[in-house]
Amino acid sequence: MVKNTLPARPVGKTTKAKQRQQITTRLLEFSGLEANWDGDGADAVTEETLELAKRVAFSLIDADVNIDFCVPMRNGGVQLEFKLGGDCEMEVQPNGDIFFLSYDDAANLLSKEKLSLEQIKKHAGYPL
Amino acid sequence: MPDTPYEILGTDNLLRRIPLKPSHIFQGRITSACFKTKPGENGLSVDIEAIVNDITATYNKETHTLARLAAAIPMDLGFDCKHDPVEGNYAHALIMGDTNPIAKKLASVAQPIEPTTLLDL
Repeated sequence: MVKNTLPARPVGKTTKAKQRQQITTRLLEFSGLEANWDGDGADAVTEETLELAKRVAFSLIDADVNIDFCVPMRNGGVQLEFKLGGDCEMEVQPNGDIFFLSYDDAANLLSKEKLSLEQIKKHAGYPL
Repeated sequence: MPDTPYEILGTDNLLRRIPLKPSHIFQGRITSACFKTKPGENGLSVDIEAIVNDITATYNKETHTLARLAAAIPMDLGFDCKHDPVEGNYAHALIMGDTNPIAKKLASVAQPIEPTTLLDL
């Protein structure tokens, strides 16, 4: 009898590779957006911003952060949403700035910090 | 069209258009990104539900859904709400100022609605 030697995989756990694929697919949706895509004057998202957003997202995934959602911002940035204790967001701005936002349970903004990619890993508890 | 601007009270409801493509709603919750102003904007565009005359003129259900939130929410947070009629939309209003600090709060209380639930005029 041949034993099943595959390691047990936790039920419901999405692999990092799959998460990266999902984020990449989602970001690709934004590349086709034109100016005023929201009907309220939103800016298009540039390829440079999308690439930086992907790098930020992959850094979070590597640090075992599960990204819940990803949306284009009206100013041409990209917003990543996830939980680290409470609700958090990462804003990837069109000028290349990256901001980390955290909220309390009542959706009040607790802090907004400008970060680098290296600091993102540190904030997520991932050793440099 | 009345000459006197509509005075928005805390009891008024405001309507915000939420893009459907790409989706801005995750697990029934609207993302805060829908409520963040851009640099240079003097406020966040909304419609005053009480004086919306023809919602089809300002809303395309193929590309957007609508969300309702009480004007009291931004007002209690110190943000004025001002009637701001524009060409083709008398009900247009602004939540004045940079709404980024309260965008998450607005998103948390805004309720997606179907246009058939709008007030009967």
